[in-house]
Amino acid sequence: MAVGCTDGRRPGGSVPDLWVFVAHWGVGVKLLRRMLGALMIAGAVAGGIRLKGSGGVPPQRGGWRPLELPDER
Amino acid sequence: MTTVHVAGRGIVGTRLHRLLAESMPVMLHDGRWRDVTGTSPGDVVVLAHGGPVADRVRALAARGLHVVTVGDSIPDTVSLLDDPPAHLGTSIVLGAAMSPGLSGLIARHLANQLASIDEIHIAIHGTAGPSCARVHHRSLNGLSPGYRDGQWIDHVGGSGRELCWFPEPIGAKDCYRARISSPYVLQRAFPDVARISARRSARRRDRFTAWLPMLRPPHPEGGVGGLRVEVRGSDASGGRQVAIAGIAELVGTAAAATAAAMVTGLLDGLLHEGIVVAGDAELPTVDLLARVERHGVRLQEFTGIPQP
Repeated sequence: MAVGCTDGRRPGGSVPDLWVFVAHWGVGVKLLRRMLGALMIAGAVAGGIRLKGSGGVPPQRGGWRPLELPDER
Repeated sequence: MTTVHVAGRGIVGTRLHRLLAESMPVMLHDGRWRDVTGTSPGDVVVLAHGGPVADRVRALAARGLHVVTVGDSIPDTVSLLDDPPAHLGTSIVLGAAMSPGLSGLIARHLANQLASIDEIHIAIHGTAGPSCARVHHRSLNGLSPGYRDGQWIDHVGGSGRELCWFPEPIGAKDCYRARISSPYVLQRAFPDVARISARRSARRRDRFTAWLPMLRPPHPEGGVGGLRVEVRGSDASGGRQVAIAGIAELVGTAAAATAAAMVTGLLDGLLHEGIVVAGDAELPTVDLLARVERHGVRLQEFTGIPQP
């Protein structure tokens, strides 16, 4: 038995209506596919950078040292 | 015997009194001290208080007194540099604190190590007493001076963020352009330098509230402050060189030590008469820096990080 409103909409809010609308126009799936693709590419790049970059070795020399004034007084 | 009169009972004034009182007669006065009839020609007056001082400097110099200022007021600095006070053969030391003052001495010392210099960049961190903290608060508002290719440029205060590395334990601090009189003083000492800038460290809250009155009373004394002086130029072979030096010290202690070095140098006849600015080529810079060190301020230089 069909459950729904008399005008053909399913009961319970407007989100399914929006989803039906975007699916009807072919926007939803394409958008979803692009978002997933972008997320996968971003994840792959971030992972690659994280694996490749070791952070290096902090400088072991240099920095500040006491200033030696010449003895010309 | 020459007496040193210190006007101002703040952090710098009391610390300067303590440094000098062991070796010479020193009188500590309130910052509002007006009755100067007790002074004798040849005495030294150190103005270690907040507020305007230009008129006071002129009046004291006209009485035959040596004057040393510790403040950081741009109108006073410009007024006294552009229209030097009449004096009776005495010295008027303009800016004998951490900056202006020690910054100029360090800049001159670094400049003497290079064949020529064309840029000086100052960064300061921290404050001394409450008066200094109020100046710091206001300095991030309004226009801040910078010197470039012979022209003064008014930058927006709180702009021009630069990460500056101070000696430990301060480390890296974000510094911004601010209303500081040091560029004017340095330009007088180094007239051939093309670029001069001065920045001070600040937090987001400092910058955001700079246009408001201070939201809470300042601390009795700031923590460990810092000074970083960067000089850029060339060596004898024409190679580009950068020399950096600075300090990490309580700002009040550094200011008092610099003022004490200037006062003792003045009494020893090392300073010329008329307007004296730290960094002047005529000054015995090494001697004055050694006096600053003897008063407990450790000067440090940045050795750089070796490239792989």
